[in-house]
Amino acid sequence: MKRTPFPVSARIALMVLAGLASSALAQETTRKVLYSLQPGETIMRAESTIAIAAGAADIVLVTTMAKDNKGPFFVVRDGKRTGPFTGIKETMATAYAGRTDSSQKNRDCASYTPPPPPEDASATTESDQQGRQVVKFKGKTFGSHLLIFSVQTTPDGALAYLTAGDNDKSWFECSDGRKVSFGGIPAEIKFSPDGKNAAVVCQGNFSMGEMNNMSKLPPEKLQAAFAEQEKKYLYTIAGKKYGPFKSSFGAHDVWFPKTSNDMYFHVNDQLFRNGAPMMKADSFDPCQFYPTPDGKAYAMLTYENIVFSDGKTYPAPLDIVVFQDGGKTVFKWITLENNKDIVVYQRAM
Amino acid sequence: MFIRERCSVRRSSHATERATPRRPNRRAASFLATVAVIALFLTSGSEALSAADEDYAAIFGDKYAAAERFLRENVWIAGALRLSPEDTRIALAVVFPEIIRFSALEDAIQVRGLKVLYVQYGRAYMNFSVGHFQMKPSFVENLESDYNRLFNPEEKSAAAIPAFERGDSAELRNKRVLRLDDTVWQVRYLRMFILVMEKRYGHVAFSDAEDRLRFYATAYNAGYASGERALRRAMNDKRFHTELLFPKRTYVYADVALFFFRTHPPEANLQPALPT
Repeated sequence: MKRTPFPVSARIALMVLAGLASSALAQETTRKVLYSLQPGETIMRAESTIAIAAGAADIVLVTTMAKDNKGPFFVVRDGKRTGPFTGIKETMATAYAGRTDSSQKNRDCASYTPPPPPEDASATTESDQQGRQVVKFKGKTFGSHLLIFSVQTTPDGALAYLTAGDNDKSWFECSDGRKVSFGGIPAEIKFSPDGKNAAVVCQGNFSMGEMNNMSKLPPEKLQAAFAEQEKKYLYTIAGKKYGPFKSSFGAHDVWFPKTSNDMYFHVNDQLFRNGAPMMKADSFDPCQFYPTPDGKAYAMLTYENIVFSDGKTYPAPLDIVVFQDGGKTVFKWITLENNKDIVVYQRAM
Repeated sequence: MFIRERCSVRRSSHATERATPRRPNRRAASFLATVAVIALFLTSGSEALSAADEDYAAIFGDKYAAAERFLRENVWIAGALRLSPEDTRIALAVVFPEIIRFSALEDAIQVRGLKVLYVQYGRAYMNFSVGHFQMKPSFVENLESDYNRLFNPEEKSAAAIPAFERGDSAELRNKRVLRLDDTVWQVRYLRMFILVMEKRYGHVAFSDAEDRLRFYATAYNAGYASGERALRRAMNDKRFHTELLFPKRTYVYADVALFFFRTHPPEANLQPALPT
């Protein structure tokens, strides 16, 4: 998967066709204009906060009437417009008076990146007296292994995942006792927002011991061994194995969305959900893909539109939040329409 | 004394350059203009050298290390630039401060909304930076336009980058933003920047590679189209910082680039020189 320019129309057409089956889930969309810019007024986006949350929008606008983003400036906060201000420092001080944080939360990507766990809850790697490595977590010891490749703790500190290698095999383990073994070298561990599902991409099929002995192979077998070692596999903590995939397949092709605990991966123009084919897509950006928890509906963002799986299309969000309410997935987003109206949309699916 | 010694080093360095000019056929401008450029260069060079003596690796700490790590983990970038060894070093040093800034702000700034506004409403919303090299749509628009204008079909063919579509529409802006999202394209734009700089400023008398680097770095950071005099004047402007807003301290962009350039000398080759 590459985050390269993709033919939006073709991709969206495919997705819409795939999503029409679930169009019965479509719900009414609400639309509310929060503020209208004056003629010629533009938002200084980097200096402004346009954030949407499940509860309310957080709008602090720094605007200018000048085309070159120079002053005079205006501030729109709590629906009121003040100014003009001549200097940007004075403007910003007014815009964010009483606030301790003017920075914006990073919600740019729809795939899940876990925040770090509390420091005292993190699993740690240590060496035992034999020089082998173990993982310590919640008073328990996991291992020992010749090498601990990677350790990750869920943000709530409830679970830890590790990948490890011994001479004869590699391991993917969870602190709750789930454990899978395989050949090859595991890469980055990915886990779901609830921490319970996890997966790891693995390179090749050979154990560390087998790789150490590869130099003893005759040339014709060595070449085949190298080719085999280039292949990629995907293992889940539940014991499923997918692949082999081409060497270009990597950890970035596998993700858990923020809005779901399902594992998605994209390979060979095909999007998979929990290992089952979901839709064709020649290229795919997980950051722009918001599936519902049941995987039956989704929204796809481009820089021009937000397109739902039932075919409904709206202007592209400046910010979006997706949350659960009453058993449905609610998409709430904020846009600038007609270059003047700041609008909040909400749609449940 | 220290400064005077430094100045004398710069003078002799420049004298050497004059004896073996980089662009002898284009350096026959008026004597006064040359003197003015040399005077300007000596002033900026001496000041910059003392500023460039700061340890930016220590100043930017983890973010500097993260930027180095990015280059180390993406060794393909140096090759994909398809430039001479010196130009490759200059190109990487030119963008290195931006990689530091990207490392610092990656988790704090929300760029998606900025891209949406630019695609939908155009130039009023083009002042934001994208990706590891922190390229702005305005910078890229200029670059595409200059590339179309300054390079003949043979040169475009040799550069392996076709002409860009002309015009200003949401569709073209969308394509441009998608290119900016792609690191491969950012590298391509960086290559184009070096090539365009050669076209625009090939006549400029640089005393040495470090002077050329500082000029190019300033052009990358402050806008390359503003002309030689303006760029020379901007070479010591303290505009660079890694804060989202309200920086407590600002630095000279060219000095940060120069620090990276000096600490990754050609004889060491770029990748082995980076810490492991």
